[in-house]
Amino acid sequence: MKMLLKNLVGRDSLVLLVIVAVVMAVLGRAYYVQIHEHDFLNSEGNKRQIRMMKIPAPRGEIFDRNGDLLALSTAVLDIWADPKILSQHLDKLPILAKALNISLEDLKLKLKAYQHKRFMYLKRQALPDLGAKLSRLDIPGVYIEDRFKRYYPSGSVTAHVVGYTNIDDQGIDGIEFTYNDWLQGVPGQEQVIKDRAGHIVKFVKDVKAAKAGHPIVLSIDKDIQYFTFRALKKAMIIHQAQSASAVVLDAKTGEVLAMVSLLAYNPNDRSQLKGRALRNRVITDVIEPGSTVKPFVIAKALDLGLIDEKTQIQTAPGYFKVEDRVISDTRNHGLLTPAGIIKHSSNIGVSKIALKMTPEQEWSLYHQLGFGQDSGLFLPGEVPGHLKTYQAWGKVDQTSASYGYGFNITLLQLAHAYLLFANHGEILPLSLLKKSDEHPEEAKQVVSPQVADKVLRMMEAVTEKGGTAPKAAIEGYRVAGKTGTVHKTKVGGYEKNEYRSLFAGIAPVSNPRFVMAVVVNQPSRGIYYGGLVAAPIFKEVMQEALRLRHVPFDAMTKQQEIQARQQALAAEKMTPAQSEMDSVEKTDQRETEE
Amino acid sequence: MKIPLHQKQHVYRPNKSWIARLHLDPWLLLGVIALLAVSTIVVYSASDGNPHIIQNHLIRITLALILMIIFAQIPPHFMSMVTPWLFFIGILMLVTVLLFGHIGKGAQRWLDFGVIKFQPSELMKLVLPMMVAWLYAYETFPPSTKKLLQGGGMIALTAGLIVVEPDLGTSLLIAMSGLFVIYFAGLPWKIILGTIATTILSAPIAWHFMYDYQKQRVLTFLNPESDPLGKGYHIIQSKIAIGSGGLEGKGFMGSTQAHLDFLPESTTDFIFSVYAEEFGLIGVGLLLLLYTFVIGRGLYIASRAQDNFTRLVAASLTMTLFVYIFVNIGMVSGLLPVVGLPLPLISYGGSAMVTLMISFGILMSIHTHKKMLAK
Repeated sequence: MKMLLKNLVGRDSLVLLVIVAVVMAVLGRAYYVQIHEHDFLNSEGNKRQIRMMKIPAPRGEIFDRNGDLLALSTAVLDIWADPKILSQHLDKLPILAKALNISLEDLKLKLKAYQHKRFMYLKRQALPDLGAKLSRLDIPGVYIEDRFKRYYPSGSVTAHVVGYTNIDDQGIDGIEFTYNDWLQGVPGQEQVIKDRAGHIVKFVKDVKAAKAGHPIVLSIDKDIQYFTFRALKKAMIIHQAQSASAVVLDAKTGEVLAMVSLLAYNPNDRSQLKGRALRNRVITDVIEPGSTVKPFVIAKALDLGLIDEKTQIQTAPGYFKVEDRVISDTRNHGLLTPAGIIKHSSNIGVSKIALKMTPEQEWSLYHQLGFGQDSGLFLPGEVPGHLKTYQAWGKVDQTSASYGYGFNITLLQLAHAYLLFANHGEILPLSLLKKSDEHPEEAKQVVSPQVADKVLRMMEAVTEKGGTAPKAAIEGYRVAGKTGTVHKTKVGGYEKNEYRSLFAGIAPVSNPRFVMAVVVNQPSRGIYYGGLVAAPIFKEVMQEALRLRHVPFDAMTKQQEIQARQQALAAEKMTPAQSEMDSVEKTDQRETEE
Repeated sequence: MKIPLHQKQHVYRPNKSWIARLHLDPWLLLGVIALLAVSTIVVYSASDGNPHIIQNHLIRITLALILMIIFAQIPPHFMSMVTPWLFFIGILMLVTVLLFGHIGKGAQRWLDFGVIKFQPSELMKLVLPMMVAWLYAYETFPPSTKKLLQGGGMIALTAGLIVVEPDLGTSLLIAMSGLFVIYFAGLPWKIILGTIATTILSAPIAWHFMYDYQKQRVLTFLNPESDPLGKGYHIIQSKIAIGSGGLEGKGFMGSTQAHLDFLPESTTDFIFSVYAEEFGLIGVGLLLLLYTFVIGRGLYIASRAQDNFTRLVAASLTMTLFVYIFVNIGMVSGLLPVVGLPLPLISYGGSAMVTLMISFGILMSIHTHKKMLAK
């Protein structure tokens, strides 16, 4: 019994020893982990919990010249999922689908397609209230990210100029593209605590504030832009045209006040961002300018002293043979002064004047006008047009170029060239941004001021009775302009019955404020003369623009006119005015060939 | 029912407190209640104040306390009497589990009685040490080789039936509880030393015969950072929790590792990490003190036991509790490999807590049912 006890006491002591040793070991371990390794383990813990988050930065706003918003950024949410986590919670799919307003089937299919991935978008650019709803539901593997979305208050009216951004908020067309780096903000960073599932639990601090992008003030006048849009749209419907575009310039500064292209699209609707409607036809489509360039030829000839304003050009008998080509007018105009050539848009008259020049002189005129060259606006998709070098010009080229065939330009280049008549022979550089100083130093004198003013007055006759575009006349203002009606080109030649109707004009003549060029592509209701299709658009827009800018009258209003006429009638019996239709230019149709 | 007056007068009524009358040991009770209070606090924090979990926890604590009191009433000689029968039933149940058991979490451990699900291995945690103790209690010392082989056979059978469920952790710990009995019953030192020596020497040979995945586990244990996303993940997160507690801890509800969901099983196996993160080294020291107190009291009860059966049972149950505690803490602090084992009395969870409280009931019964001996 004693031996037994001794043995057992030994055993108990061993047990106690082991217990003490183990307790000490555990305490030692706790000391080592909690005190010695504390800093390291604590920072390891922070590494797992504290995360840097990108704070999205809004893009800069785009304003029109009067401070109206054309583009702004609004906060939206991108909602995405980790398919690996979400697929472990299939029971949550019905409520998720319901919250996202998508069908359960689609959601299941998408989840299946992404089952081996760790990221998929569920909904992009969602409204903020959806985010609040989803965080209440707290579905594992579904995450919400703050983003910005572009919103364009004037929609399709300014669509082509302003452009649009892609779903990642990067500018991909128009001003949004050209000035993307300037408009783009710099994202900031914030520190947050996240749980293992990636949900933000607590906001710690802002490390770097997000910097919003810079704003841009465009030269565009939203109101004039809208009038232009409306007038073009109306014309499109009336004439069943394929497309139409117009551009309005400030005659004094070269700023673009309006640039409209139809077909248009709504940049706020992503589903519309495809197809032909995206083209900003003012800069992407080339046209042969037709008769609208005749005033330049006459101005150049006057400037070179090859003719003067009294020079009589024989256009009888209504056709004129140059080498193997026959140039014809709509009818026999007989002897015409330069003013008459412009008024009646005589192809023979302008051809004969052009032949007085060397090819180089004619070519350098067009070159100085900026044809075949970049406009300097740097808008995406812009084309320079095409102008053959003068070395390759023969007599036929010289004559056809004088009435606007054989080379092509954009509508913007045509309007730009017309600045010459509004600015005493000077051409100013174009600008899509609002200019601060009104006297740009880079103006280019193309013809002498006297010649430019003379030709401007000649062009006034176009909108008067007997000219080719009385429909461009505006009550109370003197208006100058030139019509053009061109056959559309096709491969290897011209379409017989497809036309472009053009008009380029300036108002008011006494102190030009606006230059506008209009083209209507393929009007298909039987009326296609520039004076009937394009001129009324010019009139409608100019009338509104002049009124909007409080431009003082420089001609008699209708009332004053009636009074004057009554007085004249009283003085001597006069025949009533010819009907307008009779005075309209019949055609400046090109001679058909081969 | 009426009791005649003269009989009532002869009833022996010592002047005892209600604790003594309920056969409870006040010191053990104090330790247990203190631990249960800590448990409630930590479970509250680890579960993020989940009312459902707190409610369940409190109900379980109440049930377990009631069971403890009931078992404290059962006299040890009665327990000794029914031990062979219980053992027989236990083995039967383990076989049944293997044949018809309910599969949960990849292992077949549960018997479904409709109303409650029952885990026979929990029963064996108590019955096996009692059975082995019964085997040696009425023998001479030291136990004969035959008895030693019998005891070893019982342990092997029980552990074997559990290991195939499969539940290696429980099987090893139950075997351990049986081996404690053999140790206290007087296993010759030669055998003890011989076994230890053989184990140490055979380790390299065992390594040679191990499967790759088993080697991988051992390696991961030795260096958890080598596999931070897989096997080492739990241990790394747990060490971060314990370590970031520092000296004073982050305070109640302050465990970011648990609240941000980085710590796995934060209410059960890894609850010590939550406790250590929130209460720091000071808290850990206090908890260890509390545990050491309870174990000390258990061993004291064993040393004061009146017969071999109760001495062996008390010592074995206490030592098993000790092993549970330190295996769990060793595991979550990276001293031992990861085995799924709750922290006794602290972790949230039903059956382990019930078994444990019953064993405290048995300890109290042993201490309070003594024959009056003239001294």
